[in-house]
Amino acid sequence: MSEPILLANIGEPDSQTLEKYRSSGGYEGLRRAISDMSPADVVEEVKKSGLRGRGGAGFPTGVKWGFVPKDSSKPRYFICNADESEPGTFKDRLLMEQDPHAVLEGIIIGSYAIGAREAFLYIRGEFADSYRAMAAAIDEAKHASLLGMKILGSSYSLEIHLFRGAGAYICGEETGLMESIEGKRGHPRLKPPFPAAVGLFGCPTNINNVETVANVPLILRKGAPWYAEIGCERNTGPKLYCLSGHVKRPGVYEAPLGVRLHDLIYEHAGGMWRQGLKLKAVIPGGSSTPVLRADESDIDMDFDSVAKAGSLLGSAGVIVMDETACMVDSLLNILKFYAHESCGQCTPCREGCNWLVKIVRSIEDGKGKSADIDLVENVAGNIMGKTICPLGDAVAMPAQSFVRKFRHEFEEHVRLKGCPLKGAH
Amino acid sequence: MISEKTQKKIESIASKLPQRAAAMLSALRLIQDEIGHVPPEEREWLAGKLGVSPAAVEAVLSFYTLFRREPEGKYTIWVCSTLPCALRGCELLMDHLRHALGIREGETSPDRRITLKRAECLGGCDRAPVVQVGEDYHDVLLDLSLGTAKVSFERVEALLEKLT
Amino acid sequence: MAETVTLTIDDRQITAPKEMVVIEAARRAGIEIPYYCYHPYLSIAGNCRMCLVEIEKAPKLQIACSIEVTEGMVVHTGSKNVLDARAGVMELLLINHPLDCPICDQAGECRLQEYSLAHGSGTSRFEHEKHHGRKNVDLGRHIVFDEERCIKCTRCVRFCDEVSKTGELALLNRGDETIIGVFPGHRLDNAYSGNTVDICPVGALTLKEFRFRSRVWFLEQTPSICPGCARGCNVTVWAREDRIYRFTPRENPEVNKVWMCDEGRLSYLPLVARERLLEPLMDGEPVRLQDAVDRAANLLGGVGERAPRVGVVASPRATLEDLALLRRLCEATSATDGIPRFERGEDDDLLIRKDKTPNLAGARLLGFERPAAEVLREAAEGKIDVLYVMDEDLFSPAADSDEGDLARRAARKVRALIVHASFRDRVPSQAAVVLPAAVYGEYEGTYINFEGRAQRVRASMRRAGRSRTHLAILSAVAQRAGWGEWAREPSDVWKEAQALAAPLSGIGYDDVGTDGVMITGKGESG
Ligand SMILES: Cc1cc2nc3c(=O)[nH]c(=O)nc-3n(C[C@H](O)[C@H](O)[C@H](O)COP(=O)(O)O)c2cc1C
Ligand code: SF4
Ligand code: SF4
Ligand code: FES
Repeated sequence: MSEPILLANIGEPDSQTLEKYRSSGGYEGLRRAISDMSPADVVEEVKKSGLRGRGGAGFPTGVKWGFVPKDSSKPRYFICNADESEPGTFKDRLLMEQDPHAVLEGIIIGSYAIGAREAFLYIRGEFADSYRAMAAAIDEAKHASLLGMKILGSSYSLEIHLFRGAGAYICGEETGLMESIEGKRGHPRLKPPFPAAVGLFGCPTNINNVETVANVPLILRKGAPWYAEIGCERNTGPKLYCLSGHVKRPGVYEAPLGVRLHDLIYEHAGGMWRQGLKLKAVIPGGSSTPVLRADESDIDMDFDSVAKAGSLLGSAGVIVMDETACMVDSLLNILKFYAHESCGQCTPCREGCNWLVKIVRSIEDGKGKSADIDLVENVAGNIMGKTICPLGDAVAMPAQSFVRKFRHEFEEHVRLKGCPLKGAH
Repeated sequence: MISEKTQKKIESIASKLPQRAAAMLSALRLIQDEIGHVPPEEREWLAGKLGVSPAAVEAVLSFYTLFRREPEGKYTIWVCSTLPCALRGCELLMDHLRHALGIREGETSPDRRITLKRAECLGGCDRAPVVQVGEDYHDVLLDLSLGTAKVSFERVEALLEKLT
Repeated sequence: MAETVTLTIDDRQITAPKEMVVIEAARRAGIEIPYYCYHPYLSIAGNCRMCLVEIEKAPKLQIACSIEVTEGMVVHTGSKNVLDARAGVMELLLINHPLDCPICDQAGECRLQEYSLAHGSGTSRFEHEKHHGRKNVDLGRHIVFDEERCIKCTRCVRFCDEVSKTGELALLNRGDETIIGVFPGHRLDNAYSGNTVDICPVGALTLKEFRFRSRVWFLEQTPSICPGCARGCNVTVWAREDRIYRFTPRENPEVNKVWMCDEGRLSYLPLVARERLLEPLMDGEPVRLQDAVDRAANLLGGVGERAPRVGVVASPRATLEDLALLRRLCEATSATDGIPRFERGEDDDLLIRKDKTPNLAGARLLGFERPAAEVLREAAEGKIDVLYVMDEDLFSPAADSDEGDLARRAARKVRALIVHASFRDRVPSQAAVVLPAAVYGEYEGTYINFEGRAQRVRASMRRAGRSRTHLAILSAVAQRAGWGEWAREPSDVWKEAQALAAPLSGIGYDDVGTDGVMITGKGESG
């Protein structure tokens, strides 16, 4: 295991204080950006680092910053997405609770890079500790002239608004989040227009995940070349992996992008939680990403490799299932989540999620027919790619992959008229 | 009606944002913190305050799961039941809480102390099965010492005892 | 001329203005892409997903209602992918739908019914309990809501937010529990609420005044003009067997877009509710039409010393043609004339005008400018012998102006009162002659709205009883009085109107057409 970079501070006493953060080089990146570099230089530096967004899609962060128009007469906004709600994901919470200044410094640098005078941090409503830690960090930073008017004596000023969500997964989707900040239901918007052109309050907006912004200070402090050395080709930098489910030590683990999935499961997380039970399946990137069978799961955990293996790195929420896990029941659980979290605005997702729940529940309850198994795939196909936002895909991908990869379990449920694993916990 | 202090706080939030309506979620939270839920009178008041229609407030209030349109118990126990918690026995925990409290999901205990609810992924999967009470997460309600998931009655009891 | 782009839709080259959405560009080229949530006069929601089309080079299907045309774009609206997607959306829309078309008031006008025949698979693979919702929700004074039929297209919500700007409706709850609703205790009671019924693509919102009255396919449609106020919203009149069943707005971008107000929408109701005057009266007794016309002509006639002093009160609810002949009557009798106002409330920002008559501008054009009160006062003071009133509502006790009062005093004072009346309820007992006039819906002609747009009002039923159009009555009186043969067809009378009003010159009767024509030179012809 390599030395932690992102989590270097974490676990230390008072890791959340400004003093502690500064003692290990904190805010040096900001100082360098503001005093030695133009906003365009900062964008260039981040491009060179190869940093890809940690919110799910892995979009190159510097490129995204470059999309924000420089000559707009409207204000520009920077948003940090701390809605972290994808099942199996809990890394942003750790960063905010234990290293809030790293998040804050990243937001300030990002805002400077795109020319934003106001930034928004949207924290999932349930995360009270994160909110308190970030609020305290903001206060400290203001007092130290790291935030507010004339940051570090420069001509650059920035105000940060802290927002708390109120219980809606869909507000993690970037445009749903903007609607939510605007005081509305978190309905994702049609794209185009994209947020870089028409975002929050109708103004050019950039949005990044918490972990993404937490990488930025490192890049500015130690330089893009140093950063680009970490990880693997086109997938640079350190990454936080969230391990949950049937592992001995669920938790957040840092490793360079491209770490072996089995290293994460068997070394970092200590292997299966119950002796003697074998790995059955892994969801590598949060519950919306296609499931992998045990025999296809010894892969490199970077954006491109996971995609090549037929799934997605997503939010790196690794959900591990051993032999006692029923794949029908697990799919049912996932489908219920998305049905509950669908914003309800577009037809395929609103109607389709619940239909899928109904079909899979009837299979799990032993009332399914074999035609129902194909129906799951087919209904999922009628949702996939046909919705306003990617939540539709998020429900269709697990539905299709569970059925394709564990079809025998679905068939067994139909044949036995029930779940053979019920009560196996 | 909410206290003058809360009213002022809401006004101050609204006045600092690019658009007043952006204070919606914060304001609803403040109202709920004070009253326990958001009654119709306060919803209409807020609509006026933020310059939106009452229906727009209702639309928001009914969208987010943390907002309450009706009074609930003094404490709400949210039992996470999404996959990572389900894999680690949240249903056993839910069963246990139902029995211990003598209520079903979504119900409030007769003494109006506790409301029991099912939550979707709380982002606390490292502590699965996790429950949230008020602002706090509580973990390891299961006794894993035997190598199988088992509800630790003592821990659940200890938690419930704190909720007075 | 706006910038244009050239694109290909289903192998056809199409030129369309930049920024136009694909669905409109296709429609103009005669290619129909099915849709529910799209509405040309509302913001784009893109939520129904029915309009998915294939656009070459795009990674997935795109919604035609929100994608703008671009140069060289290649669109397929009928490929297998598109047809499958459409069938998929249809299936999903129907899984929770009650499928109660046989008892649904929307039958015949329901896009769900229409499209499921055209684009659905015909059978349902959904074998579970459907969602249950509330039926017959009393949503507002005029509106009933059926939750189960609603497909959450949000057209009604967008209408209340963007057009009426009253914001009563919202989406409530989330996921498949999403539903349209109002704030607790509030109602959908704005001045334009009926439009939500028109734009609801299914039978979820229905109009109390029309529900269960008639199946739409039994009704005949006539393009006409709402008589409710000076806006002159373009409407379709739906009638059967000499009875109007409803008004719906008809698109005219220059006048009312596709909207109308509730009051106008229901302005046909009194036509049905009030008791019609079906025969002429003389001194309160039914007589033959010929006798009534003779008497009127006699009262008005006479020359020199014997010529009576005549006062005429015109009506801003009569057509331009009616008023042209009335102007001739004024000339023939050297009458003094005036015109009453029927005003109520205030003008609003959308459509409603406080002038509750459809043709005041037309009356003015023909010189009816003096307030009726002046004529009536002269009559009440004994300075007029014969009072000729075109609209019995002048005497309406409901009229809160002093005109009603003056009119009743005048009626008692003059030697003879002649009235054109359509209903029995307001005819003053003193009237010497009452001539039964056709009502709205029974005549054709022209109204000029407050902006100066001439618009064509059309007949959709036969005249009741022995009633006659104002034109017929006036020309009959003229003939008996010996003033000559007056035209009685609106298109012929139009020429007389042209002779009387210079702004009409150069515009033919038929030029008014279905969309109307600006006659004051300000606007463009429609
Ligand atoms: C349904 C849905 C939920 C999402 N939830 C989150 C989330 O909780 N946190 C997050 O950072 N991104 C989330 N995203 C991704 C965001 O839309 C957005 O892409 C991301 O914040 C961009 O940040 P990045 O470029 O730094 O990765 C979600 C996307 C979808 C479609
Ligand atoms: S896909 Fe689902 S969550 Fe996304 S906009 Fe449509 S209904 Fe809402
Ligand atoms: S009531 Fe009609 S118009 Fe309104 S959302 Fe439902 S289907 Fe659409
Ligand atoms: S008409 Fe395009 S999505 Fe509804």
